[in-house]
Formats: sequence, C-alpha cells, structure tokens
Amino acid sequence: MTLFRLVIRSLCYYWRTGAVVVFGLAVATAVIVGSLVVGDSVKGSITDTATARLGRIDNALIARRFFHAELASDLQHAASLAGKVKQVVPLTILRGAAESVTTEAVLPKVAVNGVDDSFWTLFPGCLGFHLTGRETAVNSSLARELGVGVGDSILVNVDKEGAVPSGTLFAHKSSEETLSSLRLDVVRVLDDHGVGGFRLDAGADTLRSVFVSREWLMSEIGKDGMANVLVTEPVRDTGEDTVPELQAALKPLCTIGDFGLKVVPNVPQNCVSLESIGMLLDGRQVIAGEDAARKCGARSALTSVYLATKIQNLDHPGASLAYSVVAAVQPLAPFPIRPGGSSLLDNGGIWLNTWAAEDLKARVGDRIELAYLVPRPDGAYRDAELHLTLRGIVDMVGPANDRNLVPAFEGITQAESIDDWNPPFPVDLSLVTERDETYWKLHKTTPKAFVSLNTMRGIWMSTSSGRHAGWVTSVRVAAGSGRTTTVLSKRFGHTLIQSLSAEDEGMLFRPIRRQVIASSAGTTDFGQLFMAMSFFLVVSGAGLAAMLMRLSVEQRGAESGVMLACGFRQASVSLVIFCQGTLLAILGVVAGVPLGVLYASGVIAGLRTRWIDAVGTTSVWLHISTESLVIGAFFGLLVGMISMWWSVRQLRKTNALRLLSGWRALGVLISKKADGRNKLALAACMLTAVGMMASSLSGSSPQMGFFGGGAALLAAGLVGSNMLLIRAMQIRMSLPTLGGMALRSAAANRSRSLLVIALLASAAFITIAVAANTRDYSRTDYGRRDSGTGGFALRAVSALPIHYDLGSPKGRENLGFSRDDEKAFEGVRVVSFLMSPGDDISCLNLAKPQYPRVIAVNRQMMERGGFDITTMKPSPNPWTLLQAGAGRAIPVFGDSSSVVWNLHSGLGKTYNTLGADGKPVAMRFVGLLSQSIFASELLMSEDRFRQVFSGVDDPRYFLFEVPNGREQSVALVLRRNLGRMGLEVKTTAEVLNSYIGVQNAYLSMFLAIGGLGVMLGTVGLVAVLLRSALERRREFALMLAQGFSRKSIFKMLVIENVGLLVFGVLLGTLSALVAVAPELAGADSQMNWGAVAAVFVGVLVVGFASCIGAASKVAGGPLIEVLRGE
Amino acid sequence: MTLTPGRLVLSEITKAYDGPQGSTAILRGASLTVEPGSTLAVVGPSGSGKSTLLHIIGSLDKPTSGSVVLNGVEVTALEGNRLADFRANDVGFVFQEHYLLPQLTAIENVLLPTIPAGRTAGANERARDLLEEMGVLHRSEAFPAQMSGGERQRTAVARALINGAKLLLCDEPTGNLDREAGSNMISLLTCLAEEQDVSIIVVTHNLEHATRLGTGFELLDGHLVALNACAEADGIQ
Repeated sequence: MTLFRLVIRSLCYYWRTGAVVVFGLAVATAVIVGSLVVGDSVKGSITDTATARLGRIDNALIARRFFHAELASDLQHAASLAGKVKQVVPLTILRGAAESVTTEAVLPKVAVNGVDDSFWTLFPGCLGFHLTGRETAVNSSLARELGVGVGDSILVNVDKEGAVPSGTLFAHKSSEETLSSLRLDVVRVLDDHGVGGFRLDAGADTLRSVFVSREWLMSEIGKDGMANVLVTEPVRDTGEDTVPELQAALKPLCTIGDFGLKVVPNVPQNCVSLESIGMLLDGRQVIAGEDAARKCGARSALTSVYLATKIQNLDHPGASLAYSVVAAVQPLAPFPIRPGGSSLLDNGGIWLNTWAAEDLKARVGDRIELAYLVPRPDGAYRDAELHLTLRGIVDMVGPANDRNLVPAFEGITQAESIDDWNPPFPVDLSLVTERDETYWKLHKTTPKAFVSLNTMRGIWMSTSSGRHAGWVTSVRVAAGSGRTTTVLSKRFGHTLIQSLSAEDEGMLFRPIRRQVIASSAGTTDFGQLFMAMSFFLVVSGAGLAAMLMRLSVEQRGAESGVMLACGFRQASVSLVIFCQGTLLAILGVVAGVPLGVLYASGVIAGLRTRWIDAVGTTSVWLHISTESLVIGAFFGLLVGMISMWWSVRQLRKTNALRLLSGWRALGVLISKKADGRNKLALAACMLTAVGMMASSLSGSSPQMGFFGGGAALLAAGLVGSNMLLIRAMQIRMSLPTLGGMALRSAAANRSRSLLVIALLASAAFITIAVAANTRDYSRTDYGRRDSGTGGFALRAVSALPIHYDLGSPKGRENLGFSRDDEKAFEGVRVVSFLMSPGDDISCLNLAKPQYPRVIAVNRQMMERGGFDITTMKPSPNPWTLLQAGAGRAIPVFGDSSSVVWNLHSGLGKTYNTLGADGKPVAMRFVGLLSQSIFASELLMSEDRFRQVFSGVDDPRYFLFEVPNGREQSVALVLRRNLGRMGLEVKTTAEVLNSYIGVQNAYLSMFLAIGGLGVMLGTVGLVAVLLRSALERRREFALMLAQGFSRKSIFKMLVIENVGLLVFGVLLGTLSALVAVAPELAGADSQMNWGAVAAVFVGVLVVGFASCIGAASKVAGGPLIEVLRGE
Repeated sequence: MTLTPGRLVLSEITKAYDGPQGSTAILRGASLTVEPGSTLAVVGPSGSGKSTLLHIIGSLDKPTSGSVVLNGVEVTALEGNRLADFRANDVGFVFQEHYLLPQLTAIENVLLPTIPAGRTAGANERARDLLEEMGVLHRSEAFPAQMSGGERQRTAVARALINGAKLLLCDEPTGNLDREAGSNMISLLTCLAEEQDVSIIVVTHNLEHATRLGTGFELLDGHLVALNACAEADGIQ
C-alpha cells in the first residue's frame, strides 16, 4: 500500500464527484485558454490582413505632391541599395467617389490606385495582369456595395490635385476644373484579402478600392509621367530597417520638380527665377532659394505679383487700366526712374510704367487707386482697393520691362489677348479697352505698376489662404558678370537641391510594414477583454470545482480522522486529498485546452456575425499560439490548485476527533459579538446607500451616486440575509411547517445559503447594471449643445475637398445646388473643418492608430462652443483653450474614450505623433469630450493645424445645425449634389450609434458570456445544495419513518433551494434597479431587457430544473435503507 | 516506578470543557496502570467521559491536567511528528464505526497504517496473518460495502494491529454489531491479549462484555472505580 495507490483508489471511488470537479476546472481552463486564443485570433487576423494587404512591401513614401515616376527605377538602381531593395514601384493613390452607371448608387471614401504592372508582383500568388485605358480592377467590397461585376461600368470621381493653393485668386474651384470624372470598365474583381485590400495606413477595415493604369490615370488628371507614392520590396524579408539607406539614396535622385519647384532662366534680365509649380513659394522654399543663391555667390531678390482688376488715377478721374499685373520686386538692378520720381518705394507708394502713367495721365504725387479681387470661401470675389501715391514713373526698360516676373499660369500667361483668358476668377471684358489689349499683345504680363514688398504681402494676406500659403511668387537670382543664365541655372538648381530637405518637402520613406504590424497589436487586448468578460465563467467553473471538492473533503472528514488516528501526519492527510485534487485539475486542464479552442471558435463566429460591431470586420479567423495554450493551461491549473488549496485548508486546522465526529467546514454557530457586527454593518450599508443617492441628486451626474447607492443596498441586503438566517435558527416553531423547516434548513447551512444568495444577487446586479449601459442615440435631442452631438444634427465628410463654402448660399450655388435645394437650407447653420489625413482613433479602428486624424477648429466653432468638455481648469468657453499656450505642445481636444483607451493618454498628458512632414509633433490634451461625435479624430485650432498640416486648404468635414425634423431632407440634398465628391452624410445620432455600437456589442457579449457563467454557476450552486441535501438522507429517512410523504420531502427541498435562488435574484435585481435608475431615466438609454430576461429566465429555469431533478433524486431514493446503515 | 515495556500509566487525568454554563469537568483525576497483555473494560453512563478517556490515552485528545505514560514516554507531551509516530507504532484504535475507507479493499485498509509507519517490508504477509487471525482472510479482497458489520469491525481490529501496537483502544467496538457478532468480537479481543501480549482497553456499555474482558472499571463522577475485586489479582491497580 502506498500513498499514490491510496490517491488513485480514492479518485476511482469518488469518480462522480471527480467528474464534476474536472468539468468545472475544464470550463475554467477552457475559458482562460479560449479568451487568450480569441486575443491571438483578433491580433493575428489583423496582422494577417494587414500584411496580406501589403504583399511584400516593406517601406513606402507617400508624398504630399506628385513627383516624376522614374524616380522609382532610379532608386531601384541606386548602388547603395543593391542587395537590399529588390524593386521600387511607383503608384498614384487618390481619394475619390465611385458611382454605378446603372444604379447611380454612389460610394464615398474610395481609394483610386494608379498602378503599373510591377505592382502586382508585390503580392505573392497574385497573377499579374495589365490594365490599359479605362480598364479597372475593383475589390470585392466595392463590387458588393456598388452592385457591380466584371463587364459593368462605373464612374469614379477624383480630385485633379491642382497645384495652386485653394483660396487664392488663381486657384480653380469649380468641379469642372478640379474634378476628373473617369468612366471605367470593370475587368476584374479582386478578393479583399490580399491585393484587393491594399492600403498603406493602419486602418483595420477594408477600403473600397479601384485599380487603374497609373499612366492612364496621370494622363487623365494632367500629370503625365508622375506618381505620388513609392513602395519598396526588400531582397530578403529579414525585417532589416532600410529606411535610412532609402532616404539617403533618394535625395540625390530627386529633381527640383519633385519638390514642386522650377528654375526658369531669364536671359533678358540675366537672372534665373526660382518659382513654385503651385505659384507661391512657402517660407522654407524662399529661405532655401536665398541660401542656394548665397552659396552660388549670387545676389537674390524676392518677387511677388498680383493682378489688379483696375488701376485709376483719382486725381484725373475717367481714365483707368483693366487687368494689369502689379509687382513687388527687390531690384537686382536699379529701376529706371524718370526724373522727379523717387527711387525709394515706401509702403504707401506706387510706381507706374510709362505706359500706365500715360494712360492715366498720372504725375508724381497723384493718388492712385489699385483695385483687386479677393476670393471668398463661397466662391464669390470681393473687391478690394488700395489707395497709393505715385512715387515715380519708370521707363519700360531693364528690370521694369520683365514679362517673366509672372510665373506661367495656364489660361492666362500664354493667351494671345485678354479676351482669350480662361482664369478661375471672373473677368469683366467691358472694362478692357483697346489700349489694354494692345499692351497685352506687346508686353503680355509685364507689370504696369510696382508696389513695395510689404504692400504686396498685404494684398496676398487679405486672401483666405494667403495667410498660410505664402506670398512670394519667385526668388530671382542674378547671374552677375561672366556667368550665363544657363550655367547659373544648372548650378543654382544643384545647390538648391542640397539646401532643401526631402523630408521637409514630404518626400519621406516610412517603414510601413513595421508600422502596420505594430498597429496590428491593436488598442484593445481582446485576450484580456474576453478574460474579463468571461470572469463569471471562470469563477463559476473554478467555484463549482472548489465547492464540490470541499464537499468531498467534508464528506470524507471521518476518513481523514481515522487516517490521523492511524498515525498519518496532518500534512500527509491533506496531501492525499490535495494530490487527488491536483490530478483532477490536470485532467480538467487536459480537457479544458481543446474545449478552450472550441470556445474561441464560438466567440470568433459571434464576432463575425452577432457581435460584428465590436470588431467591424468579418476578417477574423482562429489563430492558435502554443504560448496561449501553455499560459491558459498554466492558469487553468493554477485556478484548480487554488480551488483545491481552498477546499483542504480547513482540514489542516481540524483535529482527528473533530473529523471523526462529523466535521463540517461551514459552521452555523454565531457569537453575540458577530451579531453586533452584523447590525453595525447593516446600518452602515443603509446609511451609505441613502447618503450616496441623496448627495448625487444635487449634482449634475447622479449616475455614480446611484450606482454606489445600489451597490451599498446590495451589501445591506446580504448582511440582512445573514441576520435573517441567524434569526431563523433562533425562532422556535410552534408547529413545524414545510416552509418553516426549509427556512430552518437554509439557516442551519447559513454559509452555503449566504453563498448562494450572494452569488446570484451579485450576478443579477451586474447583469442589470451592464444591460442598462446599452445606448441608442436615435431619439437624441439635436438641440442640446452640451450633448455628444454638440447641437448638430448632421455630419458630412467628403472624400474630395469642397472648394466652395458649403455654409453660404453663394457657395452652395457654386457647388451646383438649385434654388429648390436652397430652400432645404433655410435655418441651417454649417460649420466647416479642415481635416488632416490620418488614422481613425475611435473604437471603430481595431488597429493601433499611428498618425491620428486631426480636424481644425475655426474661430466660428470656438465662438459657438458646445459639447460636454472636461478641462483641467474651469473655463467659460473651453474651446478657447485650443488657442492657449505658446509652448511646444499644441493644445488639442479628443474624445475621452478614444484618448484613454486607444491613444493610452489622458487629460493634461502629452501625446507625440508625426506631422505631415514627418517631424515630431507634441500635442497636449487640454480638454476631453464625453461620448461625442468627435471620437475618430483630434481637434486642434485652425491656426496650429495649418502650421502642422500645410497643404490642407479646403474643408472636408462639416457639421450642420438643422431645424427639427428637417435632417433627412437636408441630408438628401447634400447627397444629391455632393455625392460625386464622395460626401458621406450621417445624422449625428447615427455617428454616435456607430461608436456606441461597439460598446453595445461588448455589453451584449458580456451578457451572453456572463449569462452562461451565471447559469453554470447556478448549476454548480444547485449541485452544492443538493449534495448537502444528500448528506441529510438520514434526516429524510427519519421523516419518512415518522409519516412524512416523499412528496413533502421533495417540496421542502424545492422550497429551500428554489427559495434561495429566487431570493438572490430578487435582491440583486432590486438593488440594481436602484443603481441604474438615472441611466434608465436618460433619453438615450435602451435597457437591454431582452438580454436581462434571457439571463434571468435561463438562471431560473436551470436552477428550477436542477433543484427539481436533484430533489426528486434525493427524496426518491431508498431512504429507509439509510436508516439501516449503508 | 520501574520502567516496564508496554506498561500504561494514567496519573490524575482531568478533562474539562467550556460550555455556555461555564467549565464542566468530565474527568476529575482518573488514574490507572495497565500492565502489558492486560484487558480491561471501562463502563459508565453516556456522557461519563469513557470515550474521552480513551481518546486521551490514544493521544487523540489532550487532558486538562495529568499525564499518560506508555513505555516510559509521556504521551500527553507529544506533538507533531512524534505524536504521529506514536499513533502509528504504539497504539491501535477500533471505533464503534469501522471507518474503513470505502475505496480500499479489506487488506488494503489493514495495510493503510503501514504508510505513515514506513513498515512496508513484509506488511502484506502481516496483514494476511492478521486477517486470518481475525477470521476474515477470505474477505481480504472485498470492499467494505461488500462485508458484514462484524467482518468490517474485525478488519478494523486487524488495521489497528498491523504496526505491532501493544496497546489497543476500542471505543464501543460492538456497538454496531448484533449480539453474536459482538460476542465474537469480545472473544477475539481476549484471545489477542493472551496470544499477542497486547494490552486492550475497551469502552463499552455492555456489562456482560465487560465481565468477559476480565477487569472492569466504571467511570463515576470523573473517577475510575473498580468493578470487581479480581482487578488486583490481574495486575490492575
């Protein structure tokens, strides 16, 4: 005989108990393993999807502007990249909107990818094909949503990406000029998984994508031979960081044109001009130009030009000049001022050339009015005037006779006559005289007037984007003597490239694969999340095992006693039972691991269907890692061991005699001291409950107070139950009844009874509290500015920039809205926001955001205010905090949940990211919005936004205040007119519901999984209760002997056990209803009564069935034989 | 007092329990000396402290005062492993309930105490011998549930003796047995005492059994009082 044999024999003998213990531990292990596997699966699926979308791409350069596509092949053949980069592929990626030709259904947010044949080779297993002309391959998401297939035609609208900054006089705005509408023929539908899902950002959702020939696309938008993205494929997938090498190799290969610049030789003036393809040079480019000139040993001078619509001499009314170029020039050579004039041009002065002076009959000292157009956001133009004094008249020679001061501008500079102009601004030809036309024919863009640089800067600054886009139109560099403009042009260009930073100009490679894989870790650890959600299941499983093990230990108390009497040490006796428990735990773990995988499969099936809102994608598959299985098994075993330790720990403290005399771990005796403590605890709980609820009524948010009060009530209920059970033992029954006996029996096993009540009451409390958090904003009050909608009824986000002001009738007219459409906008207020590219930071994005999307809050919005914002310091208008602080960190707002859970930051904390130029940007959260429509993005003041995200000129994000009941009609008009711009219009309630949908899905999961746990727990509790009843078989046999019927015994058992279940559920329910009363009273509350009912009915049905089944078993057995001894 | 192997000496044993009405003394100075190979019976009304006395002798319980000395070792002073060793090697218990482990066969139950004693060499033969001596060898592979009450109790006696204990303490060993089985059990115990030089103390209600065991004591008011005069002749003082 050995201890091991004793252990094995005991296991075999008590196999029924053992089987239930194994079952309980298997459930606990399965849940832990399953939760970890769910975590692996979500993370693994995101990683799989993201890496499949990238194919073999490891790095990408996503430029702000277009560059020459040959840069790709130049880079590929760079010597420094040999052996590291297999190929560099140029792409064009544009945002757009797609429309079905047959159904006219419009899809916003479409990625339009211009690809070469080499693109397909980046994707393993992808059979490459050649797209020509209008041929397009679409991904299955787009095909499905648009209802198109191979052979169908679609219309895709893309922005032509005009170079001139929007908001300036020279920028085209009309959709005819800015929009390219491409009719495409679908030749292939690509699977979303893999090349069809191609995207370079960290979004976990699937983009709607179309693929066309890059060459053809570029030709269609007037940018032949260009691209805006480079992607690289490594020679070997070693994970080596090749970004520094790529970046180093890139710069020498870039041309000035890749930085949006050109160097134009000006032979007549013996100089070269540095000009921008976008007309205006920004500050950095100006400095680089001056720096390069200095390095070339040449003088440089700034130039800026504008178009005056009218110049007239106020001292000789009647004569005027129409559409004349006005220039501000730092002279490289002395200006030929006629005698009597001043060679110094102050801010209030003007020079006219001889032609203009003659036409205006102007003399030095005359007052000259210079009128010009200033574009307004709505597309209209405002007339502005400057009153200047004529300081001099210049001969049209030398620097005063330079038609090349004006950069080439399509539609104007090459026109033969003013009549032939095709400018973005209106031209009133009635003002144009024959003299004006003659001048144009003879001198084209030669300036008629000259003003100071400050005056010219003022003119540019008066335009909406001039403030941010710059005002210098060229930097002229003098060749000097002995150097030709050709030589200078070459040298200056070369030196300029050295002076410019590729990174600053947006030519920056990023380790896209590494970033995407890092993002795949996600913001939510689904393993931990499901572990938390499955808490009840783990506790129920482990609890069931521990309770049964403990019962078994109790049942075998005498056995332990006799072992002690036989000379076994206390530790040996415990060890025997502990070893049995450990073996059972091992068996439970062995059974639990495969069950866990099964459980994970079920949850993943749920995530793909019922709970899809939680992940927002069906692309979730089972991923099993050995690590998770081992960790799950280890924790399952740990739970089992802890359960076993709990079940035997009492045994170690009990001596042999107590064990031999029928020891029970759960005693019923109560001391007077304990009774006093109970009364004190009851009073404290009640006072806490009343106090918390009463104090919260006066506050703005009674939720916390009531929740705390409800929880205190629950605690009071449990203390009260304890006291009731104690009292039940003390009351003398004059005439025993079945109910009385059941109560006494429950009281006699007070600890077990309390355990049942406490567990069920807690489960009911949590179930209701969770279900009460379900929200539905469909009935939200749009009028409340302090709500999550901010008082806005509609939100629209456009795929393409809207160049006209959507908030003004004129802007809408320019956008094509009819007069009837305009009626829908009566009383509607629109607030527009600039929006940066970047990642969605809300819970809708499973991946970890790398570059948060930011929207710019303009002055109009700051003054309007609204939303519930928590700030560190109280402020009458929290929005002004966005303008505060001149420190390094930019003040921003963010949605509380997104900031805390997705960015892992908080109020007052600094968040570091990268700006558009790839440089670090520090943002500081000065305010957090509560459950708002701004969950996907951060909010920054427009001034700071333009510093960080230069190049974003037109708004794409709009909010609408709409009179009650007109939301749908306004939305309809918006969709009809701007659908082709990819405008996606949603009610703010829909926006909030999309965010809260994730929370609701989590709650639904919690209720389903938690409900299962509660039901399992109920079975466990009933098993414990009935196991305890089995111990009382002698008592029941005695009752039978005394004339009780089996039915009476059955009834007594059911009353006792069902009574405990019902009492527990009722106690939890009532306290929970108090706790969630403020939630239920809220307009957005949508208590998930169905789920609550399902859980409760499940608990009661399972509880009733188990009680009845087990009671009939206990009461129906051969009881009398028990009296004769077993 | 000279040290005699197997001699048991109880000196002024008292035992009191705390209750709602204060302390209640069960034993009030019980003294007794049992020579090796003696059998004696302790009788007394319910609650007189018979079982308590037996438990104190067997080290399952501690006296409030007084001492128990067996083989010159003060049992009441033993703690921990020495206490377990004492129970394993020097004393055997037989209870009113047989307390056989239901999961073990008769012989396995008999072998159970060899585990803590570490006396595994030849244990199987010893167990068989004992079962044969108890007349239940033919039931050695039966589980307790398959045995009669008498068979279970005999097996329990064998278990108590497997480690060669020289003191057998029996607490109402015939309480759950019918008359015939009870009588056989008493015969078995007296034979054991004679043949194996084992001292046996039996607590019983049955005066007939007490008489057959030779020497009888009654626990009266917490004191041991001799039942007949032959006590001295039998070596019991």
